[in-house]
Amino acid sequence: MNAPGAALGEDELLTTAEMARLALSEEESAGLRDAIGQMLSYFDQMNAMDVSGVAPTTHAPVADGNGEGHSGTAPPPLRSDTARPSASRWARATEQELVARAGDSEDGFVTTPNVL
Amino acid sequence: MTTQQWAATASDSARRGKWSARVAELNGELNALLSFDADARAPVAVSGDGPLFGVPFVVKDNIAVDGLPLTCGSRLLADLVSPYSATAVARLEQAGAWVAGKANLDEFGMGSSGQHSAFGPVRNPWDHRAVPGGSSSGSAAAVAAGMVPLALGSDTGGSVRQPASFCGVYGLKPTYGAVSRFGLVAYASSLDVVGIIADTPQLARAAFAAVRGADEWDQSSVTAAASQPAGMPSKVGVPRVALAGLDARVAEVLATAEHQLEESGCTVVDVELPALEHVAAAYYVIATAEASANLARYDGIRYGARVGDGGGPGEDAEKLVRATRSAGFGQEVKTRILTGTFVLRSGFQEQYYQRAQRVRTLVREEVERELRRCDLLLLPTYPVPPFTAGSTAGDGLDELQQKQADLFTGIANLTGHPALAFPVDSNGGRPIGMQLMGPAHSEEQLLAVVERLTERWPPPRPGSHIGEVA
Repeated sequence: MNAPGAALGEDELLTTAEMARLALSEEESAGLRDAIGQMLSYFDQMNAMDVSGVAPTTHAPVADGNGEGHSGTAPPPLRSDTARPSASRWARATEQELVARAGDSEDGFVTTPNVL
Repeated sequence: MTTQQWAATASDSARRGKWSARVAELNGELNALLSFDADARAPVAVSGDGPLFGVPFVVKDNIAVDGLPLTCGSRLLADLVSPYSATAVARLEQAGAWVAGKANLDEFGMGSSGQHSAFGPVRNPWDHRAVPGGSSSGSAAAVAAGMVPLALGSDTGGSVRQPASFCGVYGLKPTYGAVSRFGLVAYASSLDVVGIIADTPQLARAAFAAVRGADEWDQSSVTAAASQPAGMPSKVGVPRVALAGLDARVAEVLATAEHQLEESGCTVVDVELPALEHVAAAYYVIATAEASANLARYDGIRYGARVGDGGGPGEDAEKLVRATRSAGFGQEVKTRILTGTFVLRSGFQEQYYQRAQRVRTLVREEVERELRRCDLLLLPTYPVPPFTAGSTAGDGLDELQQKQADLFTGIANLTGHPALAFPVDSNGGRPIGMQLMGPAHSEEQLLAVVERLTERWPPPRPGSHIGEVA
């Protein structure tokens, strides 16, 4: 059942980690290269399937994806277009409570390191 | 225990005390629950409104409950308390049920073994050496052990059905969109659904009736317009070719389920689902790609633990984000984020992500074709029985093998169809379940069929079951 393991190149892993905003230790990198490489080899088995001319499915079909006569769905109602306090859905939550859940806050604002 | 018995226990403080003590004792062995409170939300009266009045339930810890932690099984969110409740939770509460605790899980719903939580592994109540399945591992183990009769889980590639089967209980993955996902922490949005784990199909039916339907807070949610017939189906299809690699014990239990369906008046026919062979690969490409985008929000800025200096002049924000994510995510989550990032990279997208989306189309077309030929499909939930935890020797599976084994569950997530896992055989203490899959919004029929089978062939319970706590 196992696909032959193919390690991912070190550079490829580091570039990918950079994009995913992850810093990897050397020890971690070796294990991840193996694990991801094995998955990519496994994914390559999809090449055996002829998909030419097949349209991609980008989302799970809900209303019409289940064959004739089986479906019958109504679209969800839209929320009313009225202004309301941002946390009104959540009776106990105030903006301050939400801000307090951030990594760090000050005077009701979320703080971050300088980004400029 | 019946709904009425649970209401009697829930509304009596002495009985709650006994129950709570037994749950604590069992949880010491199983690690199924991350929190449990028998008193805070319990009903004060022995009877009240709602079809689920008095029924306690636990909630997988990637689903929000107002005032309770929402850890997702991750160090990164260890201290996060949810300021609101998921719609599915609120609807169960409206039906009279009440939240008794939060359930352990594979981190962010990523895993099929219950071994990937930052808060320790979950054990199978039938056999502590076996995995309980995942990622709704705590939800399934808690229901199987009788701690509670009902739990909410999430199912992205089998995360409700596989642990339900491994623990010998019922697991419903509803049609994509049938249950609101407002309050479910996103993993892979085109596949995620909120599901139900219950100790009887009747309770699963009542819980599904309570939570189903469109919700203005989830634009992907829908209300099924037409109700499905609730009688026995005439024709049930089994995909033969794809079953070649099945473990002999699972094959035997599949034959038992076929026999039970035939005894109940159904005709079992062979169907062709050749694309099943590529389901797990397509599923993991799509799921990891979507996960890499969804989990980009955990940057240590807006919520969760922050690692590194919090914003002094000259500090590097990017450094903080990297430090937070690297320290906060576990190994399996990192593997999936990196895999997903890779398959979306320019130069590789066509080879992996776009191909997987086309395979998804073919899988859907095959399933739709077969569901025109027969009423329901019968599939194993998993190709092997519950495997031994922490080992790749003997009957253990390595991480890749565990992913490859998700083919029978992942198919319903790729196509959006509903599927119901149900216990068939205890297999000497490592339960084997099957699943029925049907057309969109056929949950009622799936539940009716399984209810019928259960009446005639009641499944056994694990030795460590809590029993009658009243």
